[in-house]
Amino acid sequence: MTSHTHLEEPDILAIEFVRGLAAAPVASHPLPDPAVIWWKAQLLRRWQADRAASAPIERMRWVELAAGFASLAVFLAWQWQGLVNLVSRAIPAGLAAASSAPQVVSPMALVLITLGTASVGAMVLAALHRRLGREPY
Amino acid sequence: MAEHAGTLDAEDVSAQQAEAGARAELLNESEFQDLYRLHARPLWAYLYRLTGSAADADDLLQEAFCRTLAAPLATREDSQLRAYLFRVATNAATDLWRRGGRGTRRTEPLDADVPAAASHGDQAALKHDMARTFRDLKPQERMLLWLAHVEGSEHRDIAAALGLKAASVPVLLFRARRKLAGLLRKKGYGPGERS
Repeated sequence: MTSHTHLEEPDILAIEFVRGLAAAPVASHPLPDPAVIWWKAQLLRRWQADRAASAPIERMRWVELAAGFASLAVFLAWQWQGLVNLVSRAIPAGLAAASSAPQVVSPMALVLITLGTASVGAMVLAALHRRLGREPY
Repeated sequence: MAEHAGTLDAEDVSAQQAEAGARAELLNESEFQDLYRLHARPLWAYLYRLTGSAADADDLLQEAFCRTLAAPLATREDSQLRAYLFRVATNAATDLWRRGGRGTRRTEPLDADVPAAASHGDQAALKHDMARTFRDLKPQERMLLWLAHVEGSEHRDIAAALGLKAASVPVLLFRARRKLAGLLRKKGYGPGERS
């Protein structure tokens, strides 16, 4: 306990006040049950252990997702011309004939179609990820 | 450990720390029960005087013990465990204030702190007034004064608990004492002014 040496009168007044306050009995408020605290701490410990154990799996999910998108990008870059030809051939002949335009799809339209498909795919994947990754409680 | 560090080689100190780390174990249930029986009441009183709310003191007490139970402890020495517990509780209280907990709960004076509820009117009024005066200080000032002058904690322990530099503790403590003395004088608690 701090001694009163080298302390002046205001310091001593403050110290004695604080000690007096500490000595004053607080009303007989019941303390929380130690058994509940012990039980809570065990649950918390288990939960932390579970989280620590599943942390690498959680990280791997994001790695998988990133790897999936990267692969898609590489595939699109690699096979872009082939895809353009494929989509051009897939356009129904009647539709093409109905318009006076030549039977070639503009690159901008292809980009939009691809982006749209990728966005929808990403949203579906993200929704699935959230759904599968949700805590069971 | 830090106070012996000056007399020991750095290698000895790190070897001791490694040994302590290796010995560190979680408290078992009977050790926890003993710890709770010995320190829960004074810790609760500290938290109640800090927050002014019995419900907050209950929550912080549980939080402090849960955090203590979650961490492997290198010591079973009673005074060190008590100092550790008060440090954890102080951290929990600081977190509560940082989260904006202060003021979210109405301060709830307990029955014995409410003048009208007590049979000895003057005594109870005095106690109530004392508690209110203490709450007029800032939370950090309350913590500093309590840890230094009630718990008798070392400055370096107080610094660790409050996230301060050890060198600034005496200065802040001095200011807190003077502020409290000023408040007390204003309320007529000076020597010879009120019994």
